[in-house]
Amino acid sequence: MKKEDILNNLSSSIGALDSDGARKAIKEAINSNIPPTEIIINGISRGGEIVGEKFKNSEYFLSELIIAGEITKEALQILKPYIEQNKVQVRGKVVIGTVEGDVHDIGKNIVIMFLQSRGFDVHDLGVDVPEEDFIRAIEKTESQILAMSALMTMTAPEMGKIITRLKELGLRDKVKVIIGGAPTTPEFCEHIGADFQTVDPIEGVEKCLEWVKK
Amino acid sequence: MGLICWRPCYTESISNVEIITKSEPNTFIKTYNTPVGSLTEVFKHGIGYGQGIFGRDWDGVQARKKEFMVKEPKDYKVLKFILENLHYKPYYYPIEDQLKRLEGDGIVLTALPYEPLHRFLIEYVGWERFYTDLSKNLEVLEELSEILEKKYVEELLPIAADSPSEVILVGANIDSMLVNPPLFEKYYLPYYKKCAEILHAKGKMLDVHLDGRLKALAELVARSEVDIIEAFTPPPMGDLPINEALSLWKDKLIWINFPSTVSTLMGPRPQAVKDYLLEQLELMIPGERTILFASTENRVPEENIMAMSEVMEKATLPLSKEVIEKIRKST
Repeated sequence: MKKEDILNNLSSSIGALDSDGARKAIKEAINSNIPPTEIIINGISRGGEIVGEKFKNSEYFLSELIIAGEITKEALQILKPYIEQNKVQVRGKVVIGTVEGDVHDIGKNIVIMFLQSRGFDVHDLGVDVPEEDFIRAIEKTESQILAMSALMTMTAPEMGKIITRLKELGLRDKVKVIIGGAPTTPEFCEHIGADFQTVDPIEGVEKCLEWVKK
Repeated sequence: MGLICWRPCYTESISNVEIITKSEPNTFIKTYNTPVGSLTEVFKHGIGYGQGIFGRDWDGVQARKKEFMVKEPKDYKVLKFILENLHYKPYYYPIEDQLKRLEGDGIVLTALPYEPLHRFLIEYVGWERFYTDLSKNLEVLEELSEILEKKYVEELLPIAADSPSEVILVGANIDSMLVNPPLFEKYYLPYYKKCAEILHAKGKMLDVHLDGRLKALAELVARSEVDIIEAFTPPPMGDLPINEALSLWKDKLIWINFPSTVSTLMGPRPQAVKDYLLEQLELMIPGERTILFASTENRVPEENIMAMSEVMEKATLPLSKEVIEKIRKST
């Protein structure tokens, strides 16, 4: 089978939430010596795009995103030994977490799934993350992007405090800040000095891709 | 204007199960020991827990679940035992007491647990495992959900129907992202139908807390027997404008949630609150079948509450462009 056909099988299997098909296609891709970077970009990542498109069109919802995430996770797991051997270049580094006082992780975890499937190195700090942990992680990982999530109106202002702290430490210009979660709005984004706001995980990942391409 | 108060109408107990609770700083652990095994759930409190009211911290935040009862498929067997041993008893005093206190200046609602399948999603299993199990262990989820539904239909709903409350809340936190249309149609609508049969027979109104993004569910909601769409959240937090909701749900009362993004998130900004409210009122013309609800918890700035009151006091029915323009000029 041609390389393009194998990668197409992989992306369409992910897009159709066919875990058996995806597993078969990724093994075939490895056996055909397709470089891992190509498998990620033209297979897994494209599969993520199909899922994202269906999500945008309301054909897929959260349950489908979870299944797609599981398939992607398994595909990356199978690919892992080859990624390490071939030193695959990551597209960018992201520190992500739900702010202090908030333990909601649905939106955050979906964004992580899509970021990973698009080749990002993601440092997930989890939920209820104190300000200093975000700062420390940015310094330690030298990430280009800080992604923060909150579901509650009461916890969203924590995002603003973290941005203020970044400014105080002279780190603000080194990272792009993206925020998300039900209570956030473009107006709030501007108010706290973040770079982008969305409640759509696909749109958020597209913005991250745009940032690292520049 | 009036007050809306929530009061319970039942007590829930579990027989043949030993429940052990343990408190640690900011954490609360609950273990259920049954003859077929044990389950544990862990709650995490916010900072300042217990320094507020109603089990919330001073910031208005409730304890959140950190670990769910079901952590692996074998836990369903233990959960099944727990559900089979659930019991409900009437407890009407809180409603009777509140009705007396209100003296007609509002309504007293009584709230039942989440819809059977939703209770698994929110309380017992958690969203990640729930969706995985929907595809891998559907039969177990369906079986347990049926046990719960039977308990509700045979024991709990008749208690609610006989309660002094006029409005019965039977489900909550519905969002199309969490509950997609096929799921809503297959597992939620039939439950609402059963609820309606029991509650309507006793003259009660069926209320569901549909506070999320509803555009994808709007047609299905229209087909449901639900009387009150509680906490309908218009944009910017929701995705369905009020006028569209009103035209789709012609036989329903829409209880509109004032989005906290506007009322709380950005601090005191009475003019923005007034402008937003006036825009929404225009979408509600002539103002029938709508209730506008604004929460006063979670530190809503007083200036914003005053701004809402100022507008609403003048929002006489029937609403019209003229009435709204008059309010705009006078506030």
